[in-house]
Amino acid sequence: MIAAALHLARCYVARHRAQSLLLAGAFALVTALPLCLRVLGQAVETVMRARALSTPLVLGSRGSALDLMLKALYFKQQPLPSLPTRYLAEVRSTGLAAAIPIDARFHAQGAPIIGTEIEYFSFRHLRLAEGRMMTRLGDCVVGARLAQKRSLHPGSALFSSQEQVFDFAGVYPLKMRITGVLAPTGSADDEAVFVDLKTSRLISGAAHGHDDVAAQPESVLKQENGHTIANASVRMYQEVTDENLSSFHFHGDENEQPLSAILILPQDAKSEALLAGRYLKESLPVHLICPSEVFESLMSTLFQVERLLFLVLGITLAAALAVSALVFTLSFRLRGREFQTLSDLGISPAALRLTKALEIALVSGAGLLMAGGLTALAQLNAEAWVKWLLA
Amino acid sequence: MAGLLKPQRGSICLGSTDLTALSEAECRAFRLRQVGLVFQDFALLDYLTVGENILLPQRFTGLDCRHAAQDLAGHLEIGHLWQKPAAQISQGERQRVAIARALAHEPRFLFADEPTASLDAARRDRVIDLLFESAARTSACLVVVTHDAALLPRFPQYARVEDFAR
Repeated sequence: MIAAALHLARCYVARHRAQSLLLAGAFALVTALPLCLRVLGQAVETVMRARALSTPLVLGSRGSALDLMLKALYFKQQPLPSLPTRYLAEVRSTGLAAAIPIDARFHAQGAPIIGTEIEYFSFRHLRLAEGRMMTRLGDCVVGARLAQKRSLHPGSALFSSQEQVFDFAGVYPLKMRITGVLAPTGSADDEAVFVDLKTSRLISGAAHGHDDVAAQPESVLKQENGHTIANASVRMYQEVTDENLSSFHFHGDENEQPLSAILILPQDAKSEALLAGRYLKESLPVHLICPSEVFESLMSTLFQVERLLFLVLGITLAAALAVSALVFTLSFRLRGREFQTLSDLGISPAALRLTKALEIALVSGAGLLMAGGLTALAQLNAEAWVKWLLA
Repeated sequence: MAGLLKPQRGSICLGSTDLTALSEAECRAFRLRQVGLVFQDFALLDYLTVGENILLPQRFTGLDCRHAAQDLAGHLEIGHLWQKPAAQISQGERQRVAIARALAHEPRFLFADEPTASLDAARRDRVIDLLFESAARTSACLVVVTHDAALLPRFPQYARVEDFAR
């Protein structure tokens, strides 16, 4: 009886495969959605948590701790006030921790330009896949994904973007020489352009290079308070070369140059506690955050949102199941003559019920298989998708 | 007569079997094995092939009469349609598939409800010939319900409903 009922159910589903697939697909989607969401949520947590846990402390301008963490760790375009470079020297002078500057104010065609120091690479365990590290002003190394996406390689160039559309007379874009491509790490580093802090200042306009004014006296307009004011015939360099390298110079007080954040790596727990106490005062323009704590706070908020989302998805699933039940009920009602024929031929009510149940099971089973496939796909690619999303 | 309905009084006997004395399940089992039904609208399942329609009752009885059914289909000139979906065959072919389904398990009793309704005279005669021939081939007792008085001389026995009413 089971074989016969299964045969009938299979034939019906196969004959009406488009409708059955549609129904199974709808069932699969509403089932897979919460599962995939959970898988992706876990992957987000894993990927983000790893970076947060590996960064002991971050010093930044007082304000949103979350914005500071997102900017300093994940290079997100958060609206964050900068802090002066003197804090870098201040932290280092305490002898309690190593400090790595992060200047993430600029971009190169959408990719964040990270002005930092060479210690950042060893701290993040970044290694070169090809080329060499930057050695000269204007050099940069790029993350693996960015290089792959834009076909960048050592020897090619990348322009910094103007941060303000209407700043025509402001800072010129800098043509940066790519000296190396980093190996992939599956983090925000894969999508970034790394430059030396001095190059970052060059992009900001705090440093520049131009024709020798002394060699072009006709271009000098006037001398004022020890400064030479020249006309527009003096050529500003948009690219650093071996020939013009010596003409580049810095203006302003180096200690007052802005930074986005400072990564702080305390020597031990005691040093960490001492540093935390040092920047505890609310009156200070800067504050020290512990990324792992900020991350946990973010996660607890996300869990609440996730719970709400699951509730909504649960209601959607229940609605989808109710609609599916209605579809099957109507379908069986429309096929009343068919079941009456089977009954007239002598087939038992139990066999007829089994046939109907197997039809539902086949469609639901196909839906569950699809949902399983989608979830497995999400599981397999979750980390890559999340890294892509977070990059 | 096929045991689809239970009489309020009296009994229905097919051969030596009193259908009214059987339980619902026994009656169904008897019908499935011993009775062949040709419905007025043929009642084929469109999502099955011709072969699957003919073998449909046997799938539930477990009897293996595939070869006999294929022979019968050949005799009814629908053998070449065996793998074709029932939804894609003509009305005449559907009629023959319905007859083949009723006879495939070689029932002792064959009931045909208006098997020639809405057929022209030539087709009507062919279907009746087919029924007689098929019933004779499987030694089945053939009972036909019809409104067509022209068919009556073809049957050795017949009863008019009007006679019972009187």
